[in-house]
Amino acid sequence: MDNTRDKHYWLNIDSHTHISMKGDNVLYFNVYSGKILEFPAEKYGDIIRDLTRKLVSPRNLRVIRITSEELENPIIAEFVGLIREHFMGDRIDTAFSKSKPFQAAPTRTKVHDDVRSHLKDPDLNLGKKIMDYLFEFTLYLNDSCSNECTECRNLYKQSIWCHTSGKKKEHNLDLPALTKFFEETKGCNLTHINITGGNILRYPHLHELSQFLSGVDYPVHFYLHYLNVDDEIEKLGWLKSIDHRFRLLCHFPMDTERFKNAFARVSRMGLNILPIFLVQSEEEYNTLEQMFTGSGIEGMTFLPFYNGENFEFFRSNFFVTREEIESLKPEQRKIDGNSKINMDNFGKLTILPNGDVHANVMTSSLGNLGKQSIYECIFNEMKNGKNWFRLRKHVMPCKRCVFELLCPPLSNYNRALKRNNMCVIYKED
Amino acid sequence: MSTNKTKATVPVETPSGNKYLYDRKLKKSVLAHPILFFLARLKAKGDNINDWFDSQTGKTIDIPDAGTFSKEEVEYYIRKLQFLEVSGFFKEIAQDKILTRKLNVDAITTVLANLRQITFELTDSCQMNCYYCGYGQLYNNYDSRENKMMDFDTARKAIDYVNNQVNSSLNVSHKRDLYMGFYGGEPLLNFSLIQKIVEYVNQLHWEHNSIRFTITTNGLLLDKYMDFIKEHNFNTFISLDGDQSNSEYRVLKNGEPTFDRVIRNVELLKEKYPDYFKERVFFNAVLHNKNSVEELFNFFKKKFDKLPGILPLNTGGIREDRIEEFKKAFVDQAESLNSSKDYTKIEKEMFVKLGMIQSVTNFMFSSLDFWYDDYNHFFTPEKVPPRFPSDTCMPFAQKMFVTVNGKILGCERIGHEYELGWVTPESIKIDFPEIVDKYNAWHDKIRKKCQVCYIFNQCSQCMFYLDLTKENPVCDRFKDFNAYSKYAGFFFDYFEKRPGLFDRILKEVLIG
Repeated sequence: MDNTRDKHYWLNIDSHTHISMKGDNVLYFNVYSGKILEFPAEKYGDIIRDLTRKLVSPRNLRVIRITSEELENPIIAEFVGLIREHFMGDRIDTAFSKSKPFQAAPTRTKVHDDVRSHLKDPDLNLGKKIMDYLFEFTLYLNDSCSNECTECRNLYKQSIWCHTSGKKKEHNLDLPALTKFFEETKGCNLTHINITGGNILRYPHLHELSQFLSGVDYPVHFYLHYLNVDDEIEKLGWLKSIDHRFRLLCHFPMDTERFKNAFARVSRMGLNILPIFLVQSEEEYNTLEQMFTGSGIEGMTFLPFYNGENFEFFRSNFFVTREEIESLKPEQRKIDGNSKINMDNFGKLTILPNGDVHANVMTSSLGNLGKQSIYECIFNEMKNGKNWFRLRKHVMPCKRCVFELLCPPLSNYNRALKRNNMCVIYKED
Repeated sequence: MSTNKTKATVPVETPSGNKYLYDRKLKKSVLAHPILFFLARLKAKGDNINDWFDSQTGKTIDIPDAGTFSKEEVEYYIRKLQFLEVSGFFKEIAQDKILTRKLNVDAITTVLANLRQITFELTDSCQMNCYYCGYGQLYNNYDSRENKMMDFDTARKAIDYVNNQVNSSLNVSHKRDLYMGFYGGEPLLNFSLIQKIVEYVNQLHWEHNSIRFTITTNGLLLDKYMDFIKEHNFNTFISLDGDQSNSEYRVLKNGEPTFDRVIRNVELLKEKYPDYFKERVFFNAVLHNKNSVEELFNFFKKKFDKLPGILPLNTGGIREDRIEEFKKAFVDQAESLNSSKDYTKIEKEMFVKLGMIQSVTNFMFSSLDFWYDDYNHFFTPEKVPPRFPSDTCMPFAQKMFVTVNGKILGCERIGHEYELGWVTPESIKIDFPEIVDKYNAWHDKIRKKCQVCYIFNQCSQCMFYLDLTKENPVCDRFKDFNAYSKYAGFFFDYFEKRPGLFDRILKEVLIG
């Protein structure tokens, strides 16, 4: 069809295109291809921002009328050309239909049981199905350990690790608390639980634990520092009879021979062993790679650890770039999830040896198993939402950034680095 | 192609000529240029798009019902079609692999532990003889009415049973409202039992629930019992069909009208307890040939500043010899609304209280990828979990309904022949394996049809409203490819004509 000057078109943006407008920038993201288009005001003036504002208005539902004359504006022409080229939208002659069409596209993310939106309405149940939200637990059985790892105070704050409080009085998660945990989580859809210490081999209720775990239908991940592998490890022989992963923990400085011996010993027991190494620098990573290439040790995981002095290591290896987001192609579900919940923290609880229940070990406890039920603890997190609902839209500078929903959720690394944006995308004013 | 595979992408055209491609698997739609729409239809027919394009020898290409286009423009839409295909459009849905879910005992146990409501039919006696009553002359799917009164022992056994179930750790909620409902007949005819139940329930320990009471009443005895009802903060649903002439079907046994007495009592309640009346009193009106949506809206709005729930006549269990009579009395809500003078105002104010908006909401909920069940849905893997055929609730998913005869049903709106258990002189008898067998047998009867029905994942059909005595029950809501295209087109048209509705539903509708 010819583009004559008096023609009108429906300019429309497809529902698989995520749109974000913040400050002077406008972003279009094709959820299917991962293609990102940015239209900053410094290059496009207000034209694309105004056009986008009209498109996303709830009454327009991503369809607006545009004339052929407007389409001749070089900026609009470039915009429409790009949108069409990357299959994010189209312009359709209005003569093809008698009335305005619409796009069934998200004007907002809708959650059927959005209990957080019920907070002001007591008739709607905040506690509805909350145990269904629980899918991962980390149990710190004890805080007893003889090792003196320099970073013990901090390691467990960034990854699931072993930890001892360093206080004289040792704690063991008591039997009533353990029993209560397994009783109350019977109806939950747990994907797995993590069991760590201290040195869990010193936990006095391992026998009872084995009995509880023999009845569960989810995998159990055990965490033990390689320096704690000694003759006592035989106490965990029963792990073979359940679905388990044995996480052998290691970090620098490390005693390589002792690690290899520990690995070999656990392997001989027939356990499903998966070593985890904390890495604080590229040198450490390279050392590990050299050390274990061809060693036959498989299933290794490397996790970064921020020690207060290795910012550059983090910046160059773990800060997100625009290109990474394009290649990662966060799907619609993830983008929508990022607008409602913290996709990393949600559904996870940690129980410390004294029975304190945390949504995050870096924030205050939600209750204590001696006094509260797990139901009450989750209810507290649902209501106060300091971790499960800790979103980028609430923090600076992310709330000003068009990539806010495309980035990974806030994590404890952000807390450790005292920096919300671990990216090289957002440019400070 | 297996006969049980359906096409995921359906071309949808609205009466105004707008065209869309809606994908039932991705739950995404794309507004389609006529060329793209044409190509998608070719594809749906099984034609090879590239072969078709190569066969076009001229410089331009004629697209039926759209016009003549340059080859470059057509090529662009071929590329867009291919992009959509790579992105997941135009796949098939193996519905026979999805509609495989079988009920099992564990599932029922879990549902019972999470019960939301137990309703007691306190009596089958009623002062009224409403023409359209579900236990009246037009129907034959209920136990005979013999002016019986439920005794406390029956209620207590049911309550104890429920208390035991919901206090288990299979209950996944905390402080969730569990409703105790009083139903009849006219429940206030057995008021002493209401008192006993309330007292008993309040002294029990409810580990995971908060208890609330609810009553559905004809209003004739409200003057006598309103103090108690208010004191215990009942949700009170008063049945009333509008003004005096609208309520003609609501008569006493001797045929006398009831309107004046009911109104007097309601006004008394409003005067005596204005705050309670505002917060906890609701009206249910049945729509029939003596009233209309507009009259109901105007009456309740002006008289009580309330919006009524508008219910259709019950369409299940109609006596064969009364079908014609039923048809005369039956009025479709959407048609009634369409004939209103103040259509827009009524639709705007009544909003989700209207069946049409509820249907639109259900369509949105089931057809959009950005409307999630709950927070867990953000993590759900792509693989579709197995599901039951039809949209029948699992046993006890809605409620437990205990009849005056001690029958236990899943809902008061289904026939008494579908009982799930009994309150016996000794205890409660719910034979879980038997329920499982029955449900799975009924599901098997309808499964084949559902496997090729395009509406299978947006279905709102309760199987108990089908004739399950037949080997192959007929479902009026069945949709093949073309029927589904029209069905989706109806809803798309609805949104085209109502700018702002789509977002209003997303913003305001909470389904608690």
